[in-house]
Amino acid sequence: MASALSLAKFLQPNRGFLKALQPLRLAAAASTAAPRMKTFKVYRWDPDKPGDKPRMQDYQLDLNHTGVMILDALIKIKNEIDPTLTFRRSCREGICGSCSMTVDGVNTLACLCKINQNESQTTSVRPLPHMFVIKDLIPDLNNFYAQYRWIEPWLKKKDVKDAEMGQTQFMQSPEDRDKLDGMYECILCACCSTSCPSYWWNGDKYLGPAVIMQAYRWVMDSRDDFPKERMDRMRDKWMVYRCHTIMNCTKTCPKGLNPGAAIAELKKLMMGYESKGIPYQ
Amino acid sequence: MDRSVVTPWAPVTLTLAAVNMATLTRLRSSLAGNCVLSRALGNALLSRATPVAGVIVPHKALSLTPVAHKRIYGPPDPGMPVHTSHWKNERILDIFMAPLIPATVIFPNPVFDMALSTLLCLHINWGLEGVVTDYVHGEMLPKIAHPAVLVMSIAAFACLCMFNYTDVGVGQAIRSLYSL
Repeated sequence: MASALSLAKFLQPNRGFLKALQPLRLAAAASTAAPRMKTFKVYRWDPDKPGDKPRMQDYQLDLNHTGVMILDALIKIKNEIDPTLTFRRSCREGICGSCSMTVDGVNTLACLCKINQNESQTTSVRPLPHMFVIKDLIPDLNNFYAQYRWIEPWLKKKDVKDAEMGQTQFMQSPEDRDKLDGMYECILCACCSTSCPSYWWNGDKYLGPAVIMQAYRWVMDSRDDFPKERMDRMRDKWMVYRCHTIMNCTKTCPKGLNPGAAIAELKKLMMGYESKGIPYQ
Repeated sequence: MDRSVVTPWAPVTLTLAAVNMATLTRLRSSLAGNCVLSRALGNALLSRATPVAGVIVPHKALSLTPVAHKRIYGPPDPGMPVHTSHWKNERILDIFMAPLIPATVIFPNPVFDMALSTLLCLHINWGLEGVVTDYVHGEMLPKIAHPAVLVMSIAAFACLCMFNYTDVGVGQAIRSLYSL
């Protein structure tokens, strides 16, 4: 054991040496490589300028000095070219769901979307489609969040008083926990809902894939005592049944989830069949 | 592991958290009642959200919530019929239609012709109803479009019936399309 450790220590690269080398290597790479200028077309609209019309603004970036992802390019534009460019971002690794936008016509998270390295092609960046724009790449998600609140995304128990909350644990078997796979991973970035034509036309009444998937997630939770009541609230013409299985949601999901299957499973449940969670998780 | 073991900086964190909570509570109370300006600001912020949001957001999301028996989000009329059975009927109709279409073409006879005409008209009627629900918005237009779809479907069914009774029938007609 000890000899293996010493072997590993002997073989590992010298960090100090590498660190000292890094700026030299970067400078060498920058000086020798020819600039690879790529055009980014970014949607701009400023609500504070009276009479301002939305427009696509071009930005030139050298791909040799830009990170790999679209978010890196946007941050570089904001830092070095145009500090007025406005967009949401937080974790830069696909777990917060802030930087959802439309890159080259596909809803995705800017931090998970690689820049097309072909510099002859321009890349367009727009806010999520069919949403009210607050500024530049920031859509108004108030309706989306109100719908999410409406499905009551929290545990509801019968016969448990407020004062008893937190006193005991609500246990769940591993099998029941498995039924939530493919749903709990959703980060509510709204990419799927805003890619759904039904949600474009009836977003005020239709819940949209992301919210329906979360509704299904709480219906499927074995610890929740109100699955029937949760479903009864969604039995009308608008909430769930505006889904026509277009499957844009599943195609666009940057986390690789399947909201279309969740809606189908929820429809099955509401028709009286049993559902065992999203299949093949 | 003993749970009572706490890190030396835990009291500091707790104090900080308590101070934060107190600040938040003070901010909220000032927003709620004291300052007219901040109340107006709060109202303006709320009005940016959808009108229903202010009503439906519960104050204590973590505590137990009563079951909502009545609709608080969605279509304006509470008498909207349950749609689940309709969706189920559509699926049943599809299951019957899938074998009926080739059967009518392969073995054209009056029973299959009439069955296919009926199911086809129902299917198209429900489909167009869906299209109207999806795309025709506003106060007046849906009130015109929905009956118009119904009238068109009835007219189509009447025409198909007449065709089946007085002419060769749907199955034979589709066959003759291929023999042109």
